[in-house]
Amino acid sequence: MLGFGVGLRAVHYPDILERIANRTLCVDWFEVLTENYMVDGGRPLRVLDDVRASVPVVLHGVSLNLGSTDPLDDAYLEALVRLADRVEPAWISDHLCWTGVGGTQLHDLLPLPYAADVVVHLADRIRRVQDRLKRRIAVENVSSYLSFEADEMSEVEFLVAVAERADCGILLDVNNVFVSAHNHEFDAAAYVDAVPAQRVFQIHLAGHSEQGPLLIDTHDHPVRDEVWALYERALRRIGSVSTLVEWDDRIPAYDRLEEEAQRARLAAETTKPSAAEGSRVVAR
Amino acid sequence: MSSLAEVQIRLRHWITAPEGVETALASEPGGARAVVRGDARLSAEDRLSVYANAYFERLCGCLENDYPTLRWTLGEAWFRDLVTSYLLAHPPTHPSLRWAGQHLATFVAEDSRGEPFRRGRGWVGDLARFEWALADAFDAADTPALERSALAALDPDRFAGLRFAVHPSLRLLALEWPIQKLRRAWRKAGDGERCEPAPEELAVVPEAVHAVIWRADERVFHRSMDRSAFEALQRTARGEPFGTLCERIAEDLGDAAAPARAASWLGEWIDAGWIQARVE
Repeated sequence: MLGFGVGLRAVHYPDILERIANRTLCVDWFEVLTENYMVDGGRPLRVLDDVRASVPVVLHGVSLNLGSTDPLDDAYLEALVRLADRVEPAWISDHLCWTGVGGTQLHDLLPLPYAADVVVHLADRIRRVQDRLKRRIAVENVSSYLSFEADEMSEVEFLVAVAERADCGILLDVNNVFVSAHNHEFDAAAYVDAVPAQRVFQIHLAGHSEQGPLLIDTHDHPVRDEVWALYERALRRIGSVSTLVEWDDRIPAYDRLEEEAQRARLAAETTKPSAAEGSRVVAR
Repeated sequence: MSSLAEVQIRLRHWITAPEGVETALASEPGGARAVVRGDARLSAEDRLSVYANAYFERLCGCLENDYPTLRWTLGEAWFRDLVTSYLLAHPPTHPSLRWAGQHLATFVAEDSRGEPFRRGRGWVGDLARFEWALADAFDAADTPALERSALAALDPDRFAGLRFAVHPSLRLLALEWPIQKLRRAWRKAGDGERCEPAPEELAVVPEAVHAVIWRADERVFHRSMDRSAFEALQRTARGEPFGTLCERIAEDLGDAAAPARAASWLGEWIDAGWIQARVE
């Protein structure tokens, strides 16, 4: 359990480095967007090294393209191994989705048909990634705006089946559960209740927006009250778990972001687990 | 996985269609509904549109970040048209958005589909090259720079054979247009806060400019150079030995001036951090 963290974003570099130097940092860890640091040099990598020297870091990717029918990208995996060797992350995560096909990158987290053959396909690729990285990864449920005629099971059944078959961790994004539950009219509480607690490495919290009848995972608002309530439900079920607040657009002052992380800490301190915690699946 | 592959290929086609999801789907009635579920709140087409809009807006935003002056000089509507044409020719293939705009300069300068954007604006290719070089310099590899003291320690008899390497962030651009004037106008307009440039701000005439771009203390700088010095630095970057460099400078500026000029330039380049510590 790393504690409560926020995303490491370039606009906050000076604030974060100053707080580390003054020992006034109020978060326990940072999550970094893997692809932003797959570069040769310059300020981003230097800041990452400086932050990592004092605080644990988790690598969170958006382009592993786990659900694609393209071959796994060897060059990407090689760069990921190099970055992981450099920062020694507490764990590595990416999304339960596909992000490109036929060599084209769509730079979006696209949902998959929730079908038995897709479970096998995805779990096989996750296992191969884990073998390459020599550790378990955590896969995150995404917000989605469409579903498929080919769906054979619910999203949470799909998530659980993949995680069990791949023997991987889960990054439970509570905001994404809330957003997708609204967009596809399923029960968010039942979703959270069905997630295998022992596999959850981490929880994500974020803000979302409304767009017509849909909710969109924009990461440009504070976490909504309904999502805080769902987070508390997840805490009762899962127990103490590393939690991170994402805020990627219309990014506020760093202090405001820390306030959101502190609210998560307070929620965790005042929420009792409903059952004794069992043994956890770990990254390595 | 043929069915999953087919679903993904079809979604990619709809999401990236330059004319929009609805037009793309018009040629295959019922196509989306065979794959994507719609409901009373939103049709399959509307749900696909969320992803199509996000695809374009995300890439447009990324290219605006990489090419802010180009975006300002073209104006919003033309820039969005440029992005549409560009993405059709060069859909992103790299896992990082960092590389989405890597072909834009070549596209806008040389591709026939980029012609409407350079018509009457001969400088767009140079401007795009310049802004891409700034982005490239920002995260180029870190390498220790040569110190003057290290140079002084070298055996003078070896000097003619020495090959210096330039810092990985260094970019040398021989431009045909005074791009810095456009960049200054953009800055003056508040980094493009004032949306459309005035015609006189874009009234630049061709002018040979030798620009150098580099990173120092994690910040990216640029300045113009004298042609002779620029060409000497280009030769250095290509790995030509210092002796050959002196001979070329002698041909350019005369025998008497060459050695002192070469030594003076090398000193300036070292002070600017343009030369790597590794000397062969």
